[in-house]
Amino acid sequence: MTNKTHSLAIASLFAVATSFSFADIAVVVHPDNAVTTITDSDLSRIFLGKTDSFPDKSKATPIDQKEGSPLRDAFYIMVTKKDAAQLNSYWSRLIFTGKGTPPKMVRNDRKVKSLISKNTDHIGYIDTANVDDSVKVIFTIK
Amino acid sequence: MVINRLSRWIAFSYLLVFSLPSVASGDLEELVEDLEYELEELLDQIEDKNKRFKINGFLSAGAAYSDSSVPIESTDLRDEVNFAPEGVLGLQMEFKLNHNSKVVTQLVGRGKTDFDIGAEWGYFAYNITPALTFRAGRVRIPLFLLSDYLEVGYAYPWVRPAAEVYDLAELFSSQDGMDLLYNFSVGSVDSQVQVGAGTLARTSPQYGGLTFKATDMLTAAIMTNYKAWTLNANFAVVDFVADLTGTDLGDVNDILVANNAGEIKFNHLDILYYSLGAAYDNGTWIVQTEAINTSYENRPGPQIFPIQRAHYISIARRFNRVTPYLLYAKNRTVNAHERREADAILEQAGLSSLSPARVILGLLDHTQTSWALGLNYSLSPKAIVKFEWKLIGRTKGTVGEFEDFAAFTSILTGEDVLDGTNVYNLVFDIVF
Repeated sequence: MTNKTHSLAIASLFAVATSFSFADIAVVVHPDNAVTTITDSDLSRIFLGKTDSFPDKSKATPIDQKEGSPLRDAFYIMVTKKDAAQLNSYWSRLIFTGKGTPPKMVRNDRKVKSLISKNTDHIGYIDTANVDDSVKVIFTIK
Repeated sequence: MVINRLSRWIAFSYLLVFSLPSVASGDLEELVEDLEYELEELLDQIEDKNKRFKINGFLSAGAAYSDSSVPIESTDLRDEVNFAPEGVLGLQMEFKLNHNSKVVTQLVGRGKTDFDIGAEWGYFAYNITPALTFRAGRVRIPLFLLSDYLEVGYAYPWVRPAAEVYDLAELFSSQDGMDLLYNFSVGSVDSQVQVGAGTLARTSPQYGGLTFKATDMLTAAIMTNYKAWTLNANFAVVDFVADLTGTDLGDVNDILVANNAGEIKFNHLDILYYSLGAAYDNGTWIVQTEAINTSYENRPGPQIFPIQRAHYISIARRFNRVTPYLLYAKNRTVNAHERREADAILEQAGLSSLSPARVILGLLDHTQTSWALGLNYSLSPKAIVKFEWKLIGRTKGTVGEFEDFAAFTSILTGEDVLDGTNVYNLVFDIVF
């Protein structure tokens, strides 16, 4: 597996916003996906529905974790700089026009892996402790 | 299918319970994992079935007070605590027909109309390609940054978008027709282009009950997003057809014609809207500004309709759950002198300054500025409470955003109770 690990410095602002501690977060795709690395900017665009493609132009379908999950809150703060309320405000602008739909939400890391292992265009995020051979890590948030 | 899986799951559970004593602990863990997996698959199938039909809603409720006895046009608010102007209830339903088409409709009830629920818009959408969508039905006209979600208070920081700007196109918020949405990206810059055509029939309460039809509405908009930045440009042209019979403007026209001043052109008058907007939101600071220009083409004869320009700028700063903001807005009519010429003819014809025909001309001047200072507090990820103080000022001799005859009378009689009007709001915005 060719993993390229990135790290993001946790700005003090966001450290305050996320009052809980969380494990490292791995952004994962199907092992056969040609994408080996991604920037936080491209991740943000995919998970906010601004683009439906990976940087190599192949289709990207984001898989989200359930609302209220600490992992989800941490992921969005770090990648999109939005907390749960800002995220709801952002999506309400698209939902209430019918122009956009938030990513499919699943209950846990196992379900993220299960979906990604069956779909080469899917991208999700899980606790790094739950990474296994069914997925490929393309970005790590420390 | 779901029933089959449910039966299997129940049978599986039954076997698990009754075979438990004979199962080794390693096998038991495996069984539990399998069971959990089966259950998750089952829940997924139920969720997927439900996902064909989705309902989302939004609600705004609160109270407002103005220290002027003259009502404000867009809200009917005056000098008593009023709960109705801020009330909005919206329900949006989306039914997915298949993987590339859906029907979406939004029902909205407003406090100022006793929450009579009506279809704000509703359309059929078909994805021609993943990037290109065709929509037909009643769709929102993309005139502003916030056009698509004007009623959804939760989606913007203020109590409501700046009336000085957004009320200019109040009559033309939606159209019955069709449009195309095209999404594209250049590097990390994501854009959406929207072009549409349609018609709209409505009675305007503003111009003495003038009934009009807007035909051949053409709209074009582009919105571009790059990191924290959003830029948009919009254009719309409306072919305005009005029936003047029995209206105050009809009386104005009759007098002008009788005095050989020409005929006001109301039929097939082209109203043009241009607007530009920019927003910056880096998660901490939110800065937003928009400017709009309205004008008329194809209008020989006396020039009655106002050419208007309006803009606003807002700055907000998030401190965790608290977001204070400042909003400055201004609109002005730039061709008041043209109406003065028509008014002089009416005066020469012997009409008093308080005659409906002359008042209706005066009401077409809407020059106004306002400052709003507010604070919103996030009660939960889906509920916000907002407090706002707004100070409205006008250019002397115009009614600004105040309503009809009473406003104009107060100017003419020199009372001018409108100057420096304070408006206070407390609003809860919720999405569900």
